[in-house]
Order: sequence, then structure tokens, then C-alpha cells
Amino acid sequence: MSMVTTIGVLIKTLFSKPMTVKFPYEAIPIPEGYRGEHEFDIDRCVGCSLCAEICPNRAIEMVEMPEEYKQKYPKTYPRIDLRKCCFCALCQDICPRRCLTMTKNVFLATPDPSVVVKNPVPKEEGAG
Amino acid sequence: MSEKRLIANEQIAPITEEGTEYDFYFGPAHSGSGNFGVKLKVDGERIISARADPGYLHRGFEKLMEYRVPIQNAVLSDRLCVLEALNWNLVHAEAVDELTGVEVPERARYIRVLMAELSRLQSHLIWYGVMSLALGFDTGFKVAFGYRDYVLDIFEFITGGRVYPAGYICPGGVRKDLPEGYREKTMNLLRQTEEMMQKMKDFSNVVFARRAKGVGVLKLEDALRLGATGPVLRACGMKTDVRKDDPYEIYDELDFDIPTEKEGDAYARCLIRDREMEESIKIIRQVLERMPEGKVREPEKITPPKRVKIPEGEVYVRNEIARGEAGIYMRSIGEGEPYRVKVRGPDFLHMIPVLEHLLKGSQIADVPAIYWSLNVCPADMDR
Repeated sequence: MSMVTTIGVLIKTLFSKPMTVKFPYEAIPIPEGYRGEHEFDIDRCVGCSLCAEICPNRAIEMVEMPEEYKQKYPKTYPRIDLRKCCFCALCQDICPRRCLTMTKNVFLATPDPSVVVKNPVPKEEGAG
Repeated sequence: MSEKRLIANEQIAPITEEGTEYDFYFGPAHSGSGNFGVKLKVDGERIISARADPGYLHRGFEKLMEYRVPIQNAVLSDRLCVLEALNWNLVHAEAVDELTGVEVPERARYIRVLMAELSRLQSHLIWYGVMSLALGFDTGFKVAFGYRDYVLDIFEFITGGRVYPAGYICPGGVRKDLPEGYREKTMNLLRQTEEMMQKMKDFSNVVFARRAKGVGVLKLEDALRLGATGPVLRACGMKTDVRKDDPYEIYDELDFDIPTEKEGDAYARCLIRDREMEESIKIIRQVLERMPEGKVREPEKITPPKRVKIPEGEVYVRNEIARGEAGIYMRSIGEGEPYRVKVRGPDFLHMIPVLEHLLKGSQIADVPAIYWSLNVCPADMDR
């Protein structure tokens, strides 16, 4: 009797909709508030270094800007090492100016090692 | 085969023509064992003795926690057990709350219980998956992991991460409030889980009963002597649950039963988990109905690490997690970081004395059934 029930379930499952989606053509939408790649707004940053202090993995280091920007940005700014980051979003929560936020970007695997350390750059320069 | 081979600095006894005794390694890099190994001495198909070999996944959490402030430790406590991060978050948060004496807001208490029970559901679904895999029932594994993903969708929606909530349950409450529409999504999830449980019931006679009935019988006196807790102890007939015996958060206000079985075999442990999922669903429904409004964290903002001070004192907190009784002993000497943290995971005793006891005298083919009926987690044991 139990075998009949089991076969019944298996046949039913055979004709039901699959539980998976055909990634990358189709993807499950990522909800708001996801802890993905960081976005840094240098114009709002006051250089308080709270993000570097709270980071449990010490993935954030406060660095000075290159010579050409020192005039405009004289303080120290967070440089994020994504290799050490555990995406806990404590830096986002502690930031008093909300300049460090986490985006929904989860596709961070890359063959280029130079982009895994995110240097603070002015907004017009591209990725921030 | 007379040539001796060296594996893990130990000599493996060769199979000789005269004898049928040999050493058999189950794990640590075995798809059916997780990151954990058991060295078995076997005579033909029968196991003469078993020796657990822990340490493959040791990461030193107790020491790491001495160098971090509580909010950072909350993030770290995720990793104590990958399969039920939120439950470990809760144990850690309660230990810190008791030391600091913070009054956790009412809403936060409800959210904590909601997340802990969802975590228990998710953990039991993983268990169902790996248990099916261990018994050679691949369909069960895929179905269970598929339904587990629905729970992960809720975690992602509420905490911002699928597997690791990053210390969502943190000292003082929870890190952020529940988003809009959580109630409908959770109710929908409960319906899906009930659908899954119906499937489990349909399959159980064919797969589980035949392979797990009468296998790995643990007597009550042995269970108590070897330190078994949680579902393993309840399957031996003892009605015990920290949620009832020593209630924490809002468990004393909730209505739920503690399922018990008498047989103490692998099948009884399967039945216990199945019924525990029903109880978890009952708890979640009650929590959703009564969810109060208000603050979710006290204090609302994260205190900068340099200003954190944990008052002097020591505390031991215990909780009922999906695998058994989890505890954290924490001692503070008035600094920002705890002076000493001791983690008591349920699996240390389940994976060493209980497993060794159960494997002795059983058949090789029953090893996966016994191993996974204990619902072990190497991460929690090695810490």
C-alpha cells in the first residue's frame, strides 16, 4: 500500500513545475536589504574610521587619497578588501553619515585580482 | 595487499588471507560524513570498534571571541554551526544580555523566537535531505533541499543573507525590524513546509522504516550516561526540552508539545524530528498572531567598539537548538571583550561517545543511517 502511495507521489512530481530556474537566463529576484557589494559615497564621508573599527574581519583600512585628490579629500577613507569581507553590514549600520551602503550585487567572482580591493575613489572616476 | 600504506600518520592493517579484520575509514573527506571521520575496525561486515576522529574543522572560536566585542562575536557566532546559524546567534546574544542586564524589547523577543523556529525547520529539512542521501534515496535529498530554499528565501528577505544572517539576533535585540509583508511570506512558507511534510510521510514507510527500524538502538540509561540531549534523548523516551524545562525568551507563553518515542532506534529519531517540525510550525503561527509593535533593539544604534564595556561577571546560558542542548559560558572582567567564552555544542557528545557506542557491533551498511539519524554537525563539534 505504501509503495502505491510513493509511486503516486513520484508520478505527481514528474508533471509538476520544477523548483529550480534556468540561471543565468532567469534568476530569483534579490530582495531589498540584501548584503552585497559595498557602495561608497566619498563626498559624505567624514573619515571617522568607525567602519574600520567595527569590521570583525579587519577588511577595512583607512587610507589617504592619491596626491591629485588630496586637496579636495584631505582625510583618510575606507579601503575595503573584499577577500576578507564577510558581508555582515556592520560598517553600513555604524556609519553615522550613511556613506557606506550595501548593494544587491552578488556577482563578485572575478579573474582580475586588482578589483577585489576597493580603493576610495571620487564619484566621477567610476566605481566608488 | 601485504604492503603497508600510510594514511594520516597511521598504519592501516592490511587484509590478510587468514583474517577478515581490517580498518575502515568513514570520512573525513567523505560525501556521506561531512567534515568528520570515524575509524572503524571491521570484521567482515560487522564493526568491532569505532573511534571518532575529531578536529578536521577546528577553527578556534572560543579564542577568537576573546578578541572581539559582542556585536562582532554575534557575526562570528553564525559560523558555529552553518546549518542553524540563527539558533547560535540567539545563545550568544542571551549570554551577553544576561551579563549586561539589558532589557530586550518585547517585539525583539518575538522576532528572536520566530527566527529560531524557522532555523529549526530549516535544519530539520537539511537533516531529512542528508538522511535520505545516506539511505540511498536521492529524490528525498533533492526535494528536502528544494523546500529548504523556501526557508532561505525568508531568511534572505528578513536578514539580508541566505545562510549566514550576520548576527541578525544580536545582543540587545535584533539588528533590524521585519520588512513589510513578512507575515504573508511566512504563512506561505508554512503551507509549503506542510506540503513537504506530507511528502515525507508518504515516503517514510518505504525508505526510512525499512532501513532505520531497529538500527542503532540507544537505551535510555546509555543516552544519559553518554550525555545525549535533544531529539536523541527524546527518542529514548525521556521528555526533556530546555524550552519547557528552563524557558527563555517567550517560550513559557507558547503552547506546544514535546514529542517523545520509546524505541530509541534510528527510526524513532526520524519520527521525533518529523513531529518537532509540526510543533515548530505551531509555534511560528502563534508568534505571528501575537507579534507586538515597538522597538527591536536596545540601544537602537550600534555602540562603537572602543566604548563597549561588558560588566564584570560570569554566566552560563543554555538553549534548545535543533540538535540538542547548546550552551555558552561567558566570563567578563569589565573589558569590552569577554575574558573567556566556552561553547557547549550538542554534537560533541553525540558525535564522539554516542556515535562510538552505537556503531560498535553494527553493520557497515548501517553506518550512514546511524550517523545521520543523530543529525550531526561537524562544525558545531570541532568549533
